[in-house]
Amino acid sequence: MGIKVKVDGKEYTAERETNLLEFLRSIGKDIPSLCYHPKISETGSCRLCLVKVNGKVVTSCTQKVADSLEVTTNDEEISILRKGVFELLVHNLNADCDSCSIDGLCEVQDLAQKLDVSLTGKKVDGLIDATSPVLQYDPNKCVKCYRCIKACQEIQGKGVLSFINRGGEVRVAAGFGSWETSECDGCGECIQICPTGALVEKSVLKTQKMLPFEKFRTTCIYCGVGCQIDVWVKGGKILKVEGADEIPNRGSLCVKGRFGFDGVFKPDRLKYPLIKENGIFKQSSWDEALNLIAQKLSKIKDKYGADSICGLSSAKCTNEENYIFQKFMRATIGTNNVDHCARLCHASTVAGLMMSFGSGAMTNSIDELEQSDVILVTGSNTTEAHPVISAFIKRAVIKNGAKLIVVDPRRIDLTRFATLHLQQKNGTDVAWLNGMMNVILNEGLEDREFIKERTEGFEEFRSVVNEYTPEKVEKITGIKKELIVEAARLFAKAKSASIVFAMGITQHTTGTDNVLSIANLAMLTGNVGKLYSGVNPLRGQNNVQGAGDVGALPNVLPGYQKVNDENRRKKFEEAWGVSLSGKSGLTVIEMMNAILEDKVKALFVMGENPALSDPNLKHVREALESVDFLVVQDIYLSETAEYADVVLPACSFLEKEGTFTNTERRILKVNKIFEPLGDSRTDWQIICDISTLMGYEMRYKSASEIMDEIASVTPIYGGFSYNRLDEKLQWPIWSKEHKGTKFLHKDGFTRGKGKFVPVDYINPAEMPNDDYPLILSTGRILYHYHTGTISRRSDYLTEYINEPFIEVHPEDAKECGVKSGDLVRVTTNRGSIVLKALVCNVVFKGSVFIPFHFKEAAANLLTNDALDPIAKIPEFKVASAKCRVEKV
Amino acid sequence: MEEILNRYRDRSYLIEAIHDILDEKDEKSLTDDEIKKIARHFKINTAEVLGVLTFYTMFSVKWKVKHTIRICNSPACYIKGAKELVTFLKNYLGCDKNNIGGNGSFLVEEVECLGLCDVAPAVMIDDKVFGNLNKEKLKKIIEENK
Amino acid sequence: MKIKVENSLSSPVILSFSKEDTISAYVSNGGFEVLDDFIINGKKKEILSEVTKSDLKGRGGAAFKVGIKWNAVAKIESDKKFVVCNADEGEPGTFKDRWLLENRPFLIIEAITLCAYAVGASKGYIYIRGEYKNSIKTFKNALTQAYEEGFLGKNIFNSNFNFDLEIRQGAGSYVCGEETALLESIEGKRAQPRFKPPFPVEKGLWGYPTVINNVETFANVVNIIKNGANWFKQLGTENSPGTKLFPVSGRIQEPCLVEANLGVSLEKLIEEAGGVDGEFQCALVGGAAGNFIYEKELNYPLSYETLKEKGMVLGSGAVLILNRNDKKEEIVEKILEFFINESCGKCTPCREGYPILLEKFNGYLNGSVSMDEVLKLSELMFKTSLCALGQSSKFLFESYFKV
Ligand SMILES: Cc1cc2nc3c(=O)[nH]c(=O)nc-3n(C[C@H](O)[C@H](O)[C@H](O)COP(=O)(O)O)c2cc1C
Ligand code: SF4
Ligand code: FES
Repeated sequence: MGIKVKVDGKEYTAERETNLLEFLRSIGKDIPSLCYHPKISETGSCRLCLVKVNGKVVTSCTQKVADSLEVTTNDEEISILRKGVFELLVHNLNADCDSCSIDGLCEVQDLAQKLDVSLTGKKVDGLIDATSPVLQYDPNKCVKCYRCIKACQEIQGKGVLSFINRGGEVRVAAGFGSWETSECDGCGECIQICPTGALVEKSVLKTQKMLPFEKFRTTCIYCGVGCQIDVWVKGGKILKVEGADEIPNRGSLCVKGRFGFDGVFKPDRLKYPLIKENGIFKQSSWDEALNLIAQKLSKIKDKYGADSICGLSSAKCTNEENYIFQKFMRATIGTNNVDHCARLCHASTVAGLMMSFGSGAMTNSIDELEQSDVILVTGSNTTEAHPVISAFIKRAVIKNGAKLIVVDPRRIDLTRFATLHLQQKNGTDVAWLNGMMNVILNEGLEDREFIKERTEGFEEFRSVVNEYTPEKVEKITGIKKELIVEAARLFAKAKSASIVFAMGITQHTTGTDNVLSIANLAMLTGNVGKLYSGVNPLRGQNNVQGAGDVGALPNVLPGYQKVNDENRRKKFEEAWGVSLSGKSGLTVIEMMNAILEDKVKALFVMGENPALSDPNLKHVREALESVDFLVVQDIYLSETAEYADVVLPACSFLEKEGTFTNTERRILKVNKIFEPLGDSRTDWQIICDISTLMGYEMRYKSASEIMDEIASVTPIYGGFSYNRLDEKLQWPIWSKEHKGTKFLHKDGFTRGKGKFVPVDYINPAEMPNDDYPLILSTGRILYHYHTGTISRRSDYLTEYINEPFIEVHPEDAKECGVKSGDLVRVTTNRGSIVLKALVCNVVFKGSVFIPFHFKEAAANLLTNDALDPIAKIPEFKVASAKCRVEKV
Repeated sequence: MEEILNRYRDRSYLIEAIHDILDEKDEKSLTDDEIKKIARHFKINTAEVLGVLTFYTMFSVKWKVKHTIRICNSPACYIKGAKELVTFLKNYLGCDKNNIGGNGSFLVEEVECLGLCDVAPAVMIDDKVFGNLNKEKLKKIIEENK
Repeated sequence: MKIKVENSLSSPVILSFSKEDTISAYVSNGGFEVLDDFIINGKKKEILSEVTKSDLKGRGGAAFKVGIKWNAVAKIESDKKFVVCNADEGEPGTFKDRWLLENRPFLIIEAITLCAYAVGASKGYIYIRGEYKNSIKTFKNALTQAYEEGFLGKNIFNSNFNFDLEIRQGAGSYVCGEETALLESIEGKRAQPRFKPPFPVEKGLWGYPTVINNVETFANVVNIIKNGANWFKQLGTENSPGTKLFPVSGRIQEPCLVEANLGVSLEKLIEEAGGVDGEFQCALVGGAAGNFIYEKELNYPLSYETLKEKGMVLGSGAVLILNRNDKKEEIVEKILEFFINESCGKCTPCREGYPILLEKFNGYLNGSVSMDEVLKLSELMFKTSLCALGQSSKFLFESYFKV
């Protein structure tokens, strides 16, 4: 309800409790301020936003709209005071605008103009801190507004920065007084909020003047969050990147999104096609390369049949490109042998959630997490793999008092914010999930109405869960039974509870089981189909959601329409004008096996890097080596490309149009900012050209036209087209009028009723034994992405971490005589690598962890390619290993 | 140190914990390693500990000394001759530019009012207070507290 | 320390109790009787109403009515509430709270507990400045005894009232005495003041309603409740009832702590303290945040309202006597340096203003800057600073330039 407020003699209506400064601005009053920023709590320290309230001089940023306010926004006294305070503020400031890169983009400069105060440079000897790899802090330009400190604490939940000293000596500091000694991970939230040139990107310092420049909006490629970024460009180069204040990231970014794009334009980018002759790559023309591919593939198809050709599409490419690729495999080649690396991350999610709910995606939205009462995070090191989502979770805890339950074998960063941390043995997820549900049922905390109205299969499920008493579960998982009970109560009693998971849940031989269990827990407590709850698998790569949506999977056509469903297939046959195979194709690992069994002769890889990303690499590399004909399309000569017969140079995301679908099913725009580098072409153009050469015409004028075709055959994208891009819709979008879907299964599950699928606990495929006593798990780290093709070329990211390491628990380290920094050899049944040890208690005793980004010590030489029987996802997360010190 | 920290769980005890740790130590300053341990214990970052250390004058001793002499130089002591006492003290101990003297065992700090104005001029040597001072008395006290 | 009771004072409020070495001595003198009576009989409202009626004003410097604070906290529904005793006494020239902490600890404990009971708090803190090692030691000891005897802790007087009182030490910072800075410090942070409103009574420690009062303020409470508000109001002046502890130091024959009726004259206080050492020039009243009072004002009644009428403040009540040989301008310089050192650095006017003010004052002394310019800056800081530290020089300069 609005109340009346009198401002400068005029009456207005305002919401009670709104910030007075915000309100005054909203009615067009120009009031100076520095320390105030709408994204952080009020500080009231700069003392510039003075107004009179009922005759008294106050700072408007610290006032709230209340009854009977009479505000004077300016009079002689106020303007004298404002100017006076500002003069004090700049008295000691080194406001040498002429020599400052951000000249013209500075809030202090703006204010000086408005308040008619002249600025001068001052030689002050506050020490400049340039020890961070990405930014510089200059205390001489710092106005002590608290914005950076609060942004780090309140927006990012990190609290890395603090003021030190007091009085006139105060300055911002990190660590022990310098950035390099601090916990700063380089997200740059502080720079983005700094009003002056005190905190700036190092990249900016390289230019004398930022102005003039151009700004372009696009979507980040470094994970599935789909952060909206503004790329500032000058002279054909990236000046800097800022987070756009929009859905889904609301201005925040992580270190990769802000600082990692220099890796896109390194001199070794592929600029022209390469054809291998006698083991050596030779530069070729597009005509030559495309003709060669078309001929070879046609020949192989004629001789060995369409199913002897396989294609790997790419979770890094756009929706349009993935659509074109799968269409090429299906319509032009005539096979369903198309897959992509979603197989390696969330195949089990898709399989499991399809069974339980009828739809395999994140049920709710990222921003809902901030409002959840209880958040259960399991198998997701969110801070490192989905940094911006972790900020939503942290804010839920620090701002809104949410309770966080972390179930993870590692003491990940989020455990600092957790009410409960359950440290399970790797691969025992079904057990603790059943254990929690056992407690919930025993204590009658289940949501009976939801179960009755909305689900089926409950009784059968209940009888299985009955056996998982907390005692039994403690034995299997190593989690104290009291903790299981506590977690169960906390979760079940919440008004709204969200479950967040990632590959710690999915990358197991029991991945599908794990996901089914999670779905069971959500249904049992009625936490699906409503706001601030849901089952939320965090998708790893930027467009892994979209690639699956548009059909880059061997068993489904675009929109998850089964290839063996004749009616659906017929629809596509009509739309595409060809007859289609009804036989499910091969999955990633199966493709490799089939090559080695000589059943597959040709492999077409678009923007993927199985030679580093897939499990049991030795096996994969043998396959790549032995396949008759290998085409790789990429932006750099990847590890996989080195095996290729023909390599095609593709454009990066900065050089093309298209869309990505982020982890919350939201369709986001990718914009062309630069012209294609060298002779490179967009992935979709290349595929279309080959297809046309092979006799199946594909001619599209633009990505937008491809999207129209996608919409016409994919019901969940049915109402989408490029003129709705600004709406940032989440699928399903059934019609042109439909506003998209914030959360799924609201009134009914996609499959009708939610299905409880009872699951029993099964051991991981490989258990530790005397020879291989440790459990090895692999995963991502903050500073690198996937196989490092781009991130490891970034000058900034590599300054943080650029070498492989293995985390070992102190007690295990002692047993094997390993110290931090020692080179150790790690061996499994499949291979052996040497890398540096990092002794820490992030991992629990008996387990080790290796990030998989580093080709020098490729973790996947060690991992197990045993598959989940349903989803065919390999067990990246559990392998038994041994680890010993290597003498060098 | 672990023992002291384990007495305190809540982050609000940061200042108490630092007091206790410094009380136990001969040198009245913290090493980086100690700062890190404190930060970890209270689940905060090192800069926050540093921020607190540098805010409070009793903590912001940067040098390793055995004794801290806090000599009041606020108005009441000042008019009773604190200024001359400060000069005398620094000379007597042979203080360097960091105000460390007595062969490195004393730090002389001029501080604000110690609430001993009724016995001005006054000093505090570590935990002990002395008032109604003149040069002779001060000399004697220093010798007794070496 | 010498303590004196002004001779016109028929019944001293604070210094009346004999020294409380042990809790049994305090109890045998009637200590904790009031607490016992009011808790046993559930007289929360009566505590609040007596305190309100007494019109007791805070003795920490700002002279805010105690009853208003207590009632405000009592009224708010909240699952947690706190009581805080401000024993950070850092105002130059002030040593009254030190004396109370070391000589009347049980009186303070009883008063804080009464307050907690009345407002519904179950946890209290007493924040003692880190330099007061003796006070901390004495008070710790007193707390231990109070716990042992069951005056603190669970089920006090077998009622269902629980109250814990904890000491927190400062570590060298004057601004910690500012109530919101003090809260920050109790929370283990840098003591940078918060903006107000919201006031601590609404959002105090960790955001919960909190009463904060000065040591001396609390020292009045037990007697008010015991003897009634009417008794208390007979003391002092109409608008400043009660007595006040005046720490008298500087050029004085017998530096001491004097308890006197509010409204007492400076002349009287000097007399109590044995007369001026030398020829009287002026007194700095209220410490660094205070002002100079001159010969012609020697007879002026020292009470909150009378001084306010003249644009002056009583502050903490500290009285520092200067004789003709003392250089007033040096005291001003000292005070400005003090503020430069003690400014927390949060807000612009204070952080940047004080060094410039000192520069200007030196300029004034050597004739290059006008008096007006100094006053203008101190006025700007007064109007725009976040907390009273940055506002303090106004009174100093206005009184300095009077002569
Ligand atoms: C810079 C500054 C220092 C202060 N120092 C003290 C102090 O040492 N002791 C104190 O009781 N109040 C001090 N105050 C006043 C407190 O902010 C607050 O008004 C007082 O604790 C309230 O208690 P009272 O109402 O009982 O006086 C100070 C205020 C300021 C602005
Ligand atoms: S007035 Fe001074 S002490 Fe108070 S908040 Fe501002 S800078 Fe800090
Ligand atoms: S914007 Fe209000 S005080 Fe800074």
